[in-house]
Amino acid sequence: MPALTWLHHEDLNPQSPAWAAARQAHGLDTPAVVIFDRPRIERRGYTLKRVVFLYECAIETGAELYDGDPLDLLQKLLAQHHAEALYATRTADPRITAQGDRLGVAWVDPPAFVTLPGPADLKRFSRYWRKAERLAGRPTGQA
Amino acid sequence: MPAAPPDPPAQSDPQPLPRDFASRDALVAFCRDRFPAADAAHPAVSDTPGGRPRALARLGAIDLAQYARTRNALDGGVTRLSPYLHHGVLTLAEVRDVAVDQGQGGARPGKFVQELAWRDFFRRVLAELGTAVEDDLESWKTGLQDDDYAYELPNDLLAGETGVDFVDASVRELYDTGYLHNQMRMKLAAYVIHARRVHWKPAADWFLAHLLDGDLGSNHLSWQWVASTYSHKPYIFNNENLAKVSGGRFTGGAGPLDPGPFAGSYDDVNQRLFG
Repeated sequence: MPALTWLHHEDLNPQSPAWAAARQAHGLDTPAVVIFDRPRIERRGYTLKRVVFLYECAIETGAELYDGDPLDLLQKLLAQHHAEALYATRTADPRITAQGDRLGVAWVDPPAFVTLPGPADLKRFSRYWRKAERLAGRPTGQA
Repeated sequence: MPAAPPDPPAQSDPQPLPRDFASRDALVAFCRDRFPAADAAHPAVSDTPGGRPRALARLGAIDLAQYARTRNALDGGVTRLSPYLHHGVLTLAEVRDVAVDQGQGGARPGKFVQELAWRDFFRRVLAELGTAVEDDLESWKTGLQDDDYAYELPNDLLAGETGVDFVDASVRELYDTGYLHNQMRMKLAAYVIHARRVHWKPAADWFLAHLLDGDLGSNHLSWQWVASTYSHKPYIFNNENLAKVSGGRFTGGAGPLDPGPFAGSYDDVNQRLFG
């Protein structure tokens, strides 16, 4: 079953967790795409330096690059590649999350910075830090 | 049965963009042409290059002992990894692991790990609240109401021509580099919100258009922290503190006769700004 990986704006990494998972499940030739989210870039008024930085990051991923509305383009690219699964790395960004959920993305978690026991109290940083402090200084894999 | 290969490209298929450029100038020229609105918004290009190889080089060069000593100073040893963290070029976990290798780990991790934790915290808040972070999360603790703040950014601020030394220099740096030291982000935000009575939201959007590391979590929530809509009290500073972090580069004044809105003691500043 062919698959496609979406390297969104917060996953411009050749070692993307989603791409690694897709390759493991569907083969090393599983393609990845970056889509410059033109509606976001224009609505947020991104200046040229942001676009150039995005582009440079995107090139270094080795993925195919596109420009447009991610929702529309990903549907076309899924069809073009006969892909039945779309992978992406989980993000807090609400726009990316909404787009991915509409497309039935298989979200892949990035390595956790810290895994808290129970829900975090997000009212203030100090409350979060009280729980996170003794765990945040442990290297990955020793959480 | 092997999977069907992708269809040969048809005219209606999305057309990929180029990945090979002869030089950075050629890439920039392409971006100018392809994204004219971004060029019109502001045409500067940052010296900070994108991409994982550059990010790894920067990560390999960090000196966290120096960071711990000097991070609050404008010319201090900050890492400038945030644009790469925002775009996932580096993960928080792998940067933390490098910090642990430099002795910043353990049950009471160092300041650098705590700074990474702020980003983790803001991501968690954003994941929980979504676009609600674009609205006041709490009431103001300035004695003022939402309606007391303007929603238009003043022209002299946008032009970097307020006359207040640190403000104009910070605006120019933001425009030219897409980066500001965290101290200057907070101080510029305090000036915009508390001295000019501009609502944090349009100002946060203004930053987002320029900052290479700008995201709704870290950026908008930090503005709300300064404003007091996501903190117990508004963030302020005084000229003495500004002179200290800037190594005397900034006075906070607007020329020799005007000491600016942050002159005097913290009580003086509080009284002046909030009555």
